[in-house]
Amino acid sequence: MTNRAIRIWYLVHKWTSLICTAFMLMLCLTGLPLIFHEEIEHWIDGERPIAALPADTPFRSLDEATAKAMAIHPGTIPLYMSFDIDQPVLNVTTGPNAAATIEDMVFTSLDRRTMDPVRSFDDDGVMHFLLQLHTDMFLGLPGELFLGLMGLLFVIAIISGIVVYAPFMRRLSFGSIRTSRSSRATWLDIHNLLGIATLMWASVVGLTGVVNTLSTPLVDLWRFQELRALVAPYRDQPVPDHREWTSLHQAMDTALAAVPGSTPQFVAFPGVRFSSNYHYAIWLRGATSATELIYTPVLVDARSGELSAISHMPWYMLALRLSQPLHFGDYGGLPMKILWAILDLVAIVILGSGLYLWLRKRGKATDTERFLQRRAAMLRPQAEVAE
Amino acid sequence: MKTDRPLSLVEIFRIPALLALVSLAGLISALLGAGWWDILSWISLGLPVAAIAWAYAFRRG
Repeated sequence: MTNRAIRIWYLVHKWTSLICTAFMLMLCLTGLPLIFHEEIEHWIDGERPIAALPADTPFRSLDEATAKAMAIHPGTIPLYMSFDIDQPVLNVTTGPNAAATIEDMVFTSLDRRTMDPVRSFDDDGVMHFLLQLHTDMFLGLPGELFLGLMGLLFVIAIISGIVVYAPFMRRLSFGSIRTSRSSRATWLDIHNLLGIATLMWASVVGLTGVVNTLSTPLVDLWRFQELRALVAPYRDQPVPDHREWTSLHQAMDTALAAVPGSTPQFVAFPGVRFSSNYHYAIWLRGATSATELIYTPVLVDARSGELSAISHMPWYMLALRLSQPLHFGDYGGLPMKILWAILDLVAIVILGSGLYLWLRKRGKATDTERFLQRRAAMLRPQAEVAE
Repeated sequence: MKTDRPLSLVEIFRIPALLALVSLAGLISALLGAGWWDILSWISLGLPVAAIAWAYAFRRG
């Protein structure tokens, strides 16, 4: 590589890093407790008590669940229903209308065997605050997309970091940490070692974070592409009122029969973002570990109860889906979460040492510059010969 | 450690590339299943951490 090329890559590394460092530090610091959000919430709130009933107690009808949620919160209609994995509990989200914002939505958790309300996920706690800060800094979609851009700069910083790693390591074996020279040399070696050793984890968490920030536009794209054809025949029909909706329980049975070997993940009621105006969108999850990440949306006509379509997740929705576990580190048990935390701490040291290295050398000839001058001096006679 | 001669690109990136590939395998393996797949991912993701600990313990000077 020419000196000029190294220099350009170095400038790319410096500027992409400098721009994103403050935000990346915030993301690493808020992300650290979020890795353990389940454990922390469990520790704060304790075990959620549910009735001890025989294991074969049948589940009640899903229609009872929506009726119960509307009775608890009068003046609201069902928007979403989700199903817990570890407890026989379902959650109904209701709101004043299908266009309700998160602030207007209310959440009702019900025991599927008794339809008794159980404690809901706490939406106001400190973990929720950290999650909001981490996701969009309380700025909504623009904040989310901005953090996505910072994530993209972070990934470019990693790539350019790999490129400039080579000239620094010409005369140093892997893992060397020089302590006998300046503290700057020590921190440079630590920065290089930590960065090069964790580059894959950092790239994957960075890139999947970027993909997660695109969730809103990607879901809109999916709606536009997949649902447009489906709702075309309904064009001139009035949007069904919630009193006209057919039985959700029967719609669920229809959907489960259409996709053998699946379990319910969530239901989007007619009119909300993940559905059309005329359908129950019933999202089913595969029952095996290889297929549980793949959702199949089944659309059931909300008026007639007939199966309209078994949809599929296009590649970008699958990418969005896979980006969640790969970003959160919540798919391999507690040891994986601990490794995620250690790697997150390593990332904090990389960011901090990078900042330190930049602050230490402002105004002075940089290591890179000195290195380049030496190298240029070495190469000059050869270049002249070549000419 | 200073080397006695300039290293080639292959020599410089041999260990980093290995760590990157093993990390990637670890990130994917836990997606594929539970049990042994999870254990494989802990070992794989632990390797870069172990490399850092090794360097910090033995490669200072």
